[in-house]
Amino acid sequence: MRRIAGLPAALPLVALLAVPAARAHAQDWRKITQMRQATASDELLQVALEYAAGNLEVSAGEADLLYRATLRYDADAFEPQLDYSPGRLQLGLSDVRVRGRNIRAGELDIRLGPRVPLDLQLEFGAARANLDLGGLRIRRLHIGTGASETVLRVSSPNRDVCKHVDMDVGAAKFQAFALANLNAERLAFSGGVGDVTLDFTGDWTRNLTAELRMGLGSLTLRVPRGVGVRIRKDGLLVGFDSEGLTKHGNVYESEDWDRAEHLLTINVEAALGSIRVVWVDPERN
Amino acid sequence: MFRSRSEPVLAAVMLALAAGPFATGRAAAQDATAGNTGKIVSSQVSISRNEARLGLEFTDGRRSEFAIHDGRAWVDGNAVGDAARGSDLDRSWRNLLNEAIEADGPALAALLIDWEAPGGAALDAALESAVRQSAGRAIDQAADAGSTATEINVDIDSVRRMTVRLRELQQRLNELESADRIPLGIEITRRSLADRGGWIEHGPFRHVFRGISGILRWALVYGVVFAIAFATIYFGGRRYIETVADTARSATTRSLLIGLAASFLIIPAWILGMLALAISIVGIPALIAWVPLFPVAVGLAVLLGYIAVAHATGEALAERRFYATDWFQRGNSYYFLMTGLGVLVAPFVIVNVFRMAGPWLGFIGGIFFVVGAIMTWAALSIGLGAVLLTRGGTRPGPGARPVPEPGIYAEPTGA
Repeated sequence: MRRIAGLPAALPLVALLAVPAARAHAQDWRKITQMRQATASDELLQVALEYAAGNLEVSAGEADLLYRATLRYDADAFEPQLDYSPGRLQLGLSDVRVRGRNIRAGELDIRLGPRVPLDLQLEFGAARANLDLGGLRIRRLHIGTGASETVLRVSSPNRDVCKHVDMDVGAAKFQAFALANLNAERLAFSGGVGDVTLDFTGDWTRNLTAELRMGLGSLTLRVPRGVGVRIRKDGLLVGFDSEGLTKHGNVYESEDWDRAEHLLTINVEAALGSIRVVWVDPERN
Repeated sequence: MFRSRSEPVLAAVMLALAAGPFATGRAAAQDATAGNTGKIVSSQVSISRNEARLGLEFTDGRRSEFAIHDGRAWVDGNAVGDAARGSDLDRSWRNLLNEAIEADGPALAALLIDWEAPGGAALDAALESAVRQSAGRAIDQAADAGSTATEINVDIDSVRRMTVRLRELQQRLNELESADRIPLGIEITRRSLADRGGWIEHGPFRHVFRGISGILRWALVYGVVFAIAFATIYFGGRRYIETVADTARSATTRSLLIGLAASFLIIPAWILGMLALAISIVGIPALIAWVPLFPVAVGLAVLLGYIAVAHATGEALAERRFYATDWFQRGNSYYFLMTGLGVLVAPFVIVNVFRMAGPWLGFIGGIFFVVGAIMTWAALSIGLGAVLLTRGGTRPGPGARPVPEPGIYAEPTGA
């Protein structure tokens, strides 16, 4: 309290000056684009993204492209990173001088080539992210978010086998659609606080096991009819809407579990919140 | 365009140097004249208020950089002419780079070759020659731009090696001058975020961690103040707190004005008291007590006042919320303190909640901080004034009206 007691005389002055000062400051906007063509020697591209704040777009690019990154940012507040070495792309935006400033969001648009296999590590903080990973060759995928709003789509099937999918979501709204298109066998999801939708529609080519851990919030699982579903639920104070599933102890199964061509096994650990299962007709994917 | 007659020649030499890496002999020149283009494997475009820069990398690993900044056009770090901000050349160059952002390798090469620079023939020629991979072409185009470069007989190959070496040395020097940054058109941090101080400080969740730590700090402040208030009430101080709280509610303005005046007069009073005691012989022993005890007394008065205002705030809130039975169950000083302190601390907690969202909502967090600080300042001033008016809660404040019993004693209307 002592610290606050020292503020009274200065506060009104600070309050009067803060807003005009922030407005008067001219932001130094910069735009950087880096593009690289894919070559025959490119066997794998590791993409490490660390993006502090702003709008983020990730999608597939032209056939001959290795990557194209377009970054628009306030140079007074953020520091860009665009480093490429053979096989590794490190890019992002770190906020280094944002304290006390009225910051406007920057933008990062990444297009990735569909020819080269990818190991994607995408970490972003206060971002509004729109990720469409359809049509790429993804071998590993890690997504980590802070207080963000993220929409992940896999609009067309992954052209490689994704060996590892790992999503770590903080206080966020997170929606992932057509996860079956990732062509993965295992998927790990960890959510802190927020509203999460995981949609398992897409082209099913193999069975999928999803390990889900939720802290506080609502989790919606969209599963396609025709896929055998088994959900194991652990946790306290978790509401579970198990429509279309039959309960066997702590496990819920769809009626076609024993005869379905493809199987989706979901193990959920949740602390507090709700889990809802929504059945989706395949033709409406 | 050029400042002196020697500059066209110099520009031509620079163009030759820029194009040097691409000069692989007569055959290459013939290819270039035939219209072959070098394959661009990588490009980097950087546009800002102060500069517009294009970096190219070719299939064989060679690189070239073209830029306009500081009022001049540059090719691989060498000035090749004037290009004032807003000039035709500057605008045309920026338009070209904006188009280049969306172009891929072959389209980009065609775009760069087709570009016609208004008043910037040297830059145009250097760019085109770099893309065409033809030193001969570069010299020809430099000649078109008014230079006499075709007459220059230099050993391009050895000059090229020297230029490359000079560039390496320059880059090394830059690295040594700046340990953290490498000026390559954009500021590129050498070390990764993680290397600079850990995941919590620099990771994507740092705002969440900072916010949570801020909330915990304020929770600690809340706990400490509440513990002091609890102890005060528990050990018989309830009467004093309630007296001050009643005065703060019934004579708020008067308490505020007296508290404000007191906050300005505290230090002068302390100093004057010391002087008065020092100049009187009998006061000297009292001076020993006055110097440390006066600040302690003021601190206690401020703390008592703040707690009393929190009590009054909680009581006022309770009057608005409780029905009859609730009042008997929860209408006590501990509850009033708990809620009142919560109200006073809440803005600072909210600040930290917004902090979790990172810099986006910093402005809203700032508003809550100012609101919280003003509330705290008002609570401290009113509390101090009420303490002075009630002589530390030992007597009712002058002019203090008894606080009316809350309406919650009435029967519920059943609405």
